[in-house]
Amino acid sequence: MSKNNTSTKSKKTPKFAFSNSGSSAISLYRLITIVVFLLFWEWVARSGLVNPLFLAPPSKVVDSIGFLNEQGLLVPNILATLKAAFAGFLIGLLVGSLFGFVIGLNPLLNKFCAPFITMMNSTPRIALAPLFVLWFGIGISSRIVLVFSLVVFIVLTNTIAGTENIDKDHLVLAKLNSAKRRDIIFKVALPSVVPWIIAAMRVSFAYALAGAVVGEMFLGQEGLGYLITAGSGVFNVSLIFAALGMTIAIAFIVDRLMGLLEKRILRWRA
Amino acid sequence: MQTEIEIRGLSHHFVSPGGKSVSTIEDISLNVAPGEFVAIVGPSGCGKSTILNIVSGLLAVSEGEISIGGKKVQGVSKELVYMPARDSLFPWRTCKKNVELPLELQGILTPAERGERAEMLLNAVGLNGFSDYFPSSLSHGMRQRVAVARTFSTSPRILLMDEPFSALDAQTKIVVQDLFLKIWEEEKQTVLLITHDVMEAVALADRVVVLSARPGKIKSIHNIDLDRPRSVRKLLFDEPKFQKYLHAIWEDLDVQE
Ligand SMILES: Nc1ncnc2c1ncn2[C@@H]1O[C@H](COP(=O)(O)OP(=O)(O)O)[C@@H](O)[C@H]1O
Ligand SMILES: [Mg+2]
Repeated sequence: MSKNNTSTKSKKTPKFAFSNSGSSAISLYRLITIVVFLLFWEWVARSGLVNPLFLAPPSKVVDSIGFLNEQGLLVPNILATLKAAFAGFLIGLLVGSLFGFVIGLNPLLNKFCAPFITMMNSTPRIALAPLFVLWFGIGISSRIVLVFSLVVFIVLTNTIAGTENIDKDHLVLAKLNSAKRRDIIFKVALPSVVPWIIAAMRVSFAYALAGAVVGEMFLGQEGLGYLITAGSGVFNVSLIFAALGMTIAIAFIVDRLMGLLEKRILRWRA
Repeated sequence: MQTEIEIRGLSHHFVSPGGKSVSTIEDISLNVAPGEFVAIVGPSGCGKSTILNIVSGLLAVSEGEISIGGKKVQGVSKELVYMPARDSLFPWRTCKKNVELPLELQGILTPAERGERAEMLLNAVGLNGFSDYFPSSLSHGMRQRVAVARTFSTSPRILLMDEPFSALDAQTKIVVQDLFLKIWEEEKQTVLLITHDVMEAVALADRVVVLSARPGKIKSIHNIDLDRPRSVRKLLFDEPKFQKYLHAIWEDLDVQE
């Protein structure tokens, strides 16, 4: 905040790169692409080329969103999905990074755990949804567990990878200064691992949201996933698209926010 | 004469992945007096870094003895500072915080005093105004200057340096060497400098030890009788004796093309 060197930086960026100065142009092209895509979609859906039972035009999707809102179904369902997604995400983030950190810093424990982590990581967690419902009931807790099970391993494996990639030179420097174990953990290991945790965080939120929605599709009585199931039950495609659209919007906004957080926390990066 | 670093009959071998024992240095003996600047030169792979790793306590001695200030070396010691070729700056710490790091880790001074000392040292290496910059926004030479400042932060009695300036381009190297010399001539630590750059060795050191190719043995020792304070820049261009030393050492190194 104190030093503003963005102007000097953009000067240095070569013309052929996607530089800061070109980013407004890119935004414009993006916008054009989206508009063209929506128009094309609208045209295809209305032209009669596709059975309207399978594809709803964007204008009808927007109508559906408005309808949901009038019925008081929009906000509560979005909130329900957000609640399950965020709860599972945050617990998974906390548990995954904590365990990953402890496991990664203990080479023996790491070696011992590696095959178990691989095994659990390769289990398709989504397929466990029915089991979770059996174990935790049809309330929100089974969906939180599902989201958690998706997020925790992404964060865990990334955090462990982070500890394995701590710069040896940094460790040697700490050792030469007779660093205490506590200092090695908090002044060398932790800052080295933070970028890995943040990367995992951004990747795993998409999974968290998908987990929440899929969980609602299975047995929930609320949420965007429930709207999708309800929509397909009555062949209401625009409802399905409306719920999907909301899901995408949430994913997009949250990713942007996390991008800002990342920039702030990792401001020491080039 | 007093000795600060005493190396007696030092030999070392590594066990290769095939199980064979590979000798890297053989029977090195060397005394370094307090405040003396000794450079060790030798062809690549002759065991220079190995010697420094052993003196610093990072690597256990296989044969021979090392004493520092009369005490046998066992593990790392706070009396010495090791400056490696790579700057090893912590990218998430500002320049100032990087210079403070050794003080912090060793629990020297209060936080406020550490900050003052770091500022003072950054000024000494010509980086005033860069205290709050992160290493990622600095050039190679500037980063190495921060590393020089960090090296002096704990006011160590002994400096061990392993090709500290080798990663720098020719011009920057001279600038950083001169900055280093200026601080050193005030503080006069005992220095053991490893380098493959003969020019650097002659310009900086009081004595230059030449090692043979692997396994490294001491081939010759040259006293460098040049006035202090020195300036690397001046030596390079205006000192006939400097060329004479370069010649003699280059001869001993016996570099084959
Ligand atoms: N950890 C190690 N294990 C096996 N051999 C090593 C190891 N470290 C260095 N060596 C070998 O010992 C020799 C001396 O290495 P080093 O002291 O780094 O040489 P220098 O610094 O003079 O280039 C080299 O031939 C190198 O291959
Ligand atoms: Mg070396």
